[in-house]
Amino acid sequence: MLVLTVIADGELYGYEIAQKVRERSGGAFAPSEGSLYPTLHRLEIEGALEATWRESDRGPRRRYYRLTEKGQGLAAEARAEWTAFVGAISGVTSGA
Amino acid sequence: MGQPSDDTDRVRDGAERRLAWLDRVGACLEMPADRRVEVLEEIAAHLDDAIDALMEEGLPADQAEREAMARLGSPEALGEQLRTTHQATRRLLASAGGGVWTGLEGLATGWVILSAWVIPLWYLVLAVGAFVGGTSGRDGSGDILMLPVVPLLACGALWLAARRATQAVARASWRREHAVRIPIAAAGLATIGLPILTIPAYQSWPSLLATLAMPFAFAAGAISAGGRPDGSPWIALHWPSRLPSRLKVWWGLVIVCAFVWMAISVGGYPGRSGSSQNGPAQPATPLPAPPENGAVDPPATLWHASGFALVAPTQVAPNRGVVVAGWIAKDGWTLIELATDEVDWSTLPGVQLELWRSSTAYASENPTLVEPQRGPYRVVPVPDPLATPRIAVQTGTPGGIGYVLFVVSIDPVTGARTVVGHPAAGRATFHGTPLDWFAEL
Repeated sequence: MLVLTVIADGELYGYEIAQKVRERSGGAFAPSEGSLYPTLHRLEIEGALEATWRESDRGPRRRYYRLTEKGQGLAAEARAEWTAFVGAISGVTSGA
Repeated sequence: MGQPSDDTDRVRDGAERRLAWLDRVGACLEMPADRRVEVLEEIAAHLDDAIDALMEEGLPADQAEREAMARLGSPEALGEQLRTTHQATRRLLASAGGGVWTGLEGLATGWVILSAWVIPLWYLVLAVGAFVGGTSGRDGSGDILMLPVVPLLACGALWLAARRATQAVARASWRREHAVRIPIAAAGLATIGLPILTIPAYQSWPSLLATLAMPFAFAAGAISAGGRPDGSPWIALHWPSRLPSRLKVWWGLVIVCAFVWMAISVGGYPGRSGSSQNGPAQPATPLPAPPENGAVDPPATLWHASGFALVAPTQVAPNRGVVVAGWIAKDGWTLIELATDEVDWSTLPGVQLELWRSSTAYASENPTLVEPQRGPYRVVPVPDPLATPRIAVQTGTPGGIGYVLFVVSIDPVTGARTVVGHPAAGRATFHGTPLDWFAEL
């Protein structure tokens, strides 16, 4: 979900995705970089992401990922599930 | 003075360490080379970015590099995760359709390309044979004519088809050719081999061996697709389009000459009178009735049936005989060239032969002999200007499309019929499946 949500803002390459997750979570989440690429590639195979090689303004060319229509649907679905889950937990904890 | 050198060494060491690390990832990625390079390029770019960022945070280069690699975890674990991600079953299944299509394309391409090489060469050999032997190429090279060219061409085309299919499946499923070639070879052996073993056809040793080689040619093509361990191909193919232009011109001339020779060779047979007869456009003449023995002489010019392997079977069996296919009888006469004549005619003075024709042209395992065609037909040894054994047979059957003929001698005294032929009958035509053939043996 984190990956899909971050990419929803625009095209990013692998390292940028890891950075964004780290930044947005205020450093709370440091995604395992080792599992980042298998995740990205799996989402690409499943049709949730599209990837294109492009020259970068610095260093070697990068592989940029963007959400497909299917990926946008999955991201929205994951967000809704998470919101419902957080709401349920909040309900339980605030009731206590 | 020593500082720049130390820095250079450090950079070189770092680059080597990174390459070694990436090699360990790559060793786990069983996928086509270009895909593997792309994956590794992406990981390498990630490493570069991470090292730059860590150095900007103040870490020395060595430490930044170690930290960046540590964040990606064990290279083997990363490689294994990437491998399993990409080698999804759905990807393999999806690649099968593309593999079949590419295989069919390869089959057609292989057929066309190999034909462009083999057929001209074949006719060139015949032409050389004719020049050297003083005969027409076809007559002088009867054994060459017996070569099962079609199954041999099919073997080559299947080999190429399997190579291309294996490469396509490997590419589409993100596997190395080594991982898919054995299943593809096994599938080809089964799907090509089963029909070959079970569909009856006319068999001879050369055609049988060439036909049985077809599934193995496919399997060999699939297995050779991965190439050598270092990635170089087993066989480097050079298609005509890749020949040097001068050689192309010569090859074009060879093809033209070969096809001219083929046209001359197939177009007509120069008859005994020396006149040439070309093509089937003959004036329609009423066919004589099957003659009494000795009643009619053969005409001066005759159509011919070549490739007639007159090695008669040792016994008349329903599915044994000699096939003459697609030859036209002019005025009821067919000149049969004995491409493989193992009958010693000199030991059979005064013998009459009769040809028993089956009621069906092909694919009959239990033919009914057609009474009106039984003969006895007159068999006339033809004085042979081309040094090829031949007999003229008045079958009274025009425009024949195929016969299974049994050559039977009739004893002039007792009238007893025996099948003429070499006892070994090694090259007698046999109709049945290869399994039947081996069962007969």
